[in-house]
Amino acid sequence: MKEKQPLKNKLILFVTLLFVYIALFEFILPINKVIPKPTLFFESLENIWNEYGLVYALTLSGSVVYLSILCAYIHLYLGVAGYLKFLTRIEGSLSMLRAFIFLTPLFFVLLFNYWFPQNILGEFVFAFIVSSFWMLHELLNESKRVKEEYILVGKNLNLTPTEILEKIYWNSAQPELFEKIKKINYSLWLLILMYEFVGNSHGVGQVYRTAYSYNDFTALYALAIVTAIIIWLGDFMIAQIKRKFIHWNA
Amino acid sequence: MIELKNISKDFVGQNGIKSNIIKSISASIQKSKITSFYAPHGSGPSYLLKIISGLEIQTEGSVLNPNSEKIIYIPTEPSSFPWYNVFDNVKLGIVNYDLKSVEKMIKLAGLEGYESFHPHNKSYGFRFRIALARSLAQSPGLILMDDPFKLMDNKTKSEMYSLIIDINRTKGTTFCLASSNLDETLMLSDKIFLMSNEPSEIIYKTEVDLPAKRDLSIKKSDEYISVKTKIITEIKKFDVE
Repeated sequence: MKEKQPLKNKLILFVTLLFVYIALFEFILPINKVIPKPTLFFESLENIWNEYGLVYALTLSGSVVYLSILCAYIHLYLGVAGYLKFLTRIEGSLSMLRAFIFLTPLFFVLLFNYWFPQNILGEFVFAFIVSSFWMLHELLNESKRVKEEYILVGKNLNLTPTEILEKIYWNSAQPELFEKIKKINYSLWLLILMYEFVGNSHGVGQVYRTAYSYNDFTALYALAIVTAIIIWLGDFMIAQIKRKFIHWNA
Repeated sequence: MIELKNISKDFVGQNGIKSNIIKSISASIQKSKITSFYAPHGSGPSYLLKIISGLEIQTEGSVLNPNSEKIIYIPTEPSSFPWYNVFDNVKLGIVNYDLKSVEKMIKLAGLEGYESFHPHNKSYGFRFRIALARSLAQSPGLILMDDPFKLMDNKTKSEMYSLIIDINRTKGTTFCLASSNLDETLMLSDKIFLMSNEPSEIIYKTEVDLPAKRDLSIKKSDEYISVKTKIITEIKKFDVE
């Protein structure tokens, strides 16, 4: 009974806000530049699928985001030993790379758009590199937190250094790596939307650009809601995968 | 038999000051017996076990293992890998493992029927059984246990003591225990080395002449009380606090 209470409260809050929104912007302030009129908004929520080709755009952008995350994860799984050995060896020089954090993501978005104009493969390569970099960064951080006992047992069982990296370091990092993937889901969507908006390449970012160029105020709101739901669904799916397969705390 | 000759271990701290953790330890670990290194405080016995297993290198002295027997180390916790199920934990590190042999060790450790279970969210006793089965599957000459019962409740501890004694008596497996608990040391051991505070050195050794099969009722026996009193006297004498 107690568990149902917060859900009930949320529902009451949602219905109240919806009522206030309809009452305020349908009847009191129907014309304004802040929040669209409810009837127009709900109409737009339906129209964006047909008029702006949102299904196709979502398929493209979603594929780029989730395929790149999946490929980055598989590629790290296959190369974890090599990467960790290499990164540990050059760790002293890695601090030099810190300078890059001051470069805005927009710079890289523009750079890739310059190299691969309106090219879906270029967009995928960009997303793959970004996901791999973020995951590798997390893996390197987690490799410093592996419990000493795991490593001692691994050595004692005569596991090779490569086996220790693959069987102990990789698995030990999984819970935190999946938390990171949840963050990557959100950040990568932002970058891809930016990428498609700037480069006018096919995808949800281009739909935003079109809606913006048409001054379609209500469509921007409808797009924002749909995008938020898609990102939330991605987050939910990643959490379910983690719950199913990564059931331990290292 | 594995023999320790004059083992010492020094550490140099970040401030450059050298500290001596273990000092001139000589001892023998007899085959098919349970030997314990007991210290009420300090990490001396734990370091010693790591040295015996080759996971730490001693500053001086040597570990003589004439038959090059496999020495397996079980840490306090975590003693098993949470991402592997019982079966995968037990076969870890065995090249071309024999299914029947792995299953036999799982059964010996009392984990039959739990092969697909994961240690995560299970009791310390369950996890220790996995570590024990994994160690036995390696066909070891010696199993080193680094304060393995520290986090267990009394009932589980008692079950684990029986399990180890049973395996030792029936299979002849050699065990070596590092412990800070005198009662568990007495419950399990055939021979006890009492170690001082750091730098840890052996200040007293005694054979434990108690019946092979032991349970908690043995604590009330005259022999038990006599050995315990002797060790406590030595602790007080050397001020091992």
